Amino acid sequence: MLTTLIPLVALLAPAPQGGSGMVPKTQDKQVDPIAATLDRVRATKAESRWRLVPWMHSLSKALTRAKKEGKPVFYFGYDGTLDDGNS
Amino acid sequence: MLRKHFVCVEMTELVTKDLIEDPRDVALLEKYDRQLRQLPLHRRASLDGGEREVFITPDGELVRVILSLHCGNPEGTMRLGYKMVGQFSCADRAKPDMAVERFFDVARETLEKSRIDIPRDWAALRAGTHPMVARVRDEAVPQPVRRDQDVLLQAWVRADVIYYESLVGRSLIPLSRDAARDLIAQDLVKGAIQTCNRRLFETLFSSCYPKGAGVLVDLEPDSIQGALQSEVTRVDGNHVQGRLRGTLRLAPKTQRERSRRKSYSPWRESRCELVGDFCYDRKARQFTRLRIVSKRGVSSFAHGRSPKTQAYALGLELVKRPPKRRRRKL
Repeated sequence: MLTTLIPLVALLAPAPQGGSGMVPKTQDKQVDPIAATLDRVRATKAESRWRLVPWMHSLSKALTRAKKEGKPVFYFGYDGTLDDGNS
Repeated sequence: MLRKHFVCVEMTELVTKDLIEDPRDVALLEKYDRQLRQLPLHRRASLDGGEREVFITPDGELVRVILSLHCGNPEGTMRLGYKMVGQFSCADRAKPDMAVERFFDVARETLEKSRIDIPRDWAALRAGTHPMVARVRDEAVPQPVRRDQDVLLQAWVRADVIYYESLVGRSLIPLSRDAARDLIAQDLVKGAIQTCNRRLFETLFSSCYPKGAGVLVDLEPDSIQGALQSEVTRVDGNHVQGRLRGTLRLAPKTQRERSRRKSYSPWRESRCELVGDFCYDRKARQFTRLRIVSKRGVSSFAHGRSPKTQAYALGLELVKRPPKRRRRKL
């Protein structure tokens, strides 16, 4: 009888609450499609790493600072001509 | 290496004369572009248009363009193309780490021309074995913390092709406690349904337009269409859980809405279904979870003649902020 009772008690026991009980425990990503989508759309560390560089946004100001600090400038520009913005 | 040894400048796609942040840069960039165009063909390049990276000495002397949409190549021709990397031999281009190798080569050349001693740790930085490299690899981009807003959401937007992180779409959405509370029913009982009001809907989704060249725009209210509904699914004392369902269609009608840069405004319409969930603490009067994501999202755009469609995805989630520190009483 004991071998039958233990599984039955386990079935009847309430499911354990995760964390503080205020937020449901995050489920496996396979059954939590919202979490899976968020994982896909969030910017990753690798994608965001270029933001760790302290970029200035004025070449004129950067050259002034470069001369003052004795450091060369690295300039990175993307897309758009000065006249009309075309590539 | 960049943080330690160089002053770094980033010029975005908003680089036309009417949008450029510092107007003095127009004459400067034109001067450098003229210099580059006068070089021998195998070193000729342009600093105007397309992705370009260049090193400049502290005295303002151009060293070398590493990458340019318009540049010459060792074969002696001018070629165009987004995959074009100037001044690489064909054999070099076949190497997977070619761009990084070239980057370090020209960076070193720049330091030498600037009469700056090559740092002792240069080889380690280049090899990736320097302890700083590992630290940077693990470093997280600082998350802006705003203490003046009760609720802060982070919006992420993806189009199918990922360009640069800033072009993907990453915006913060600050909300007052009362505004966020309007998302769910006043009477929080199981089954309670609430339709999100227009103002809140526009606030949530106005930043979910896929970013692209020159797209830093404010959509007009009637360009933001759709609806979002919440439903309470469970109440456990002060803890309320629920789900969110809806649709979204972003369809800017004017040039101004599509892009600040008139010459490039490809995105036309983005639409998706919305799904999400929430947890609300009635006692603390705050959300402990709020997530909204897209489902079956599609963006249509026109770059060139024929319109195309791409997958489109968005996600909104609460920003986790560090707990407030309690001040010790002295």
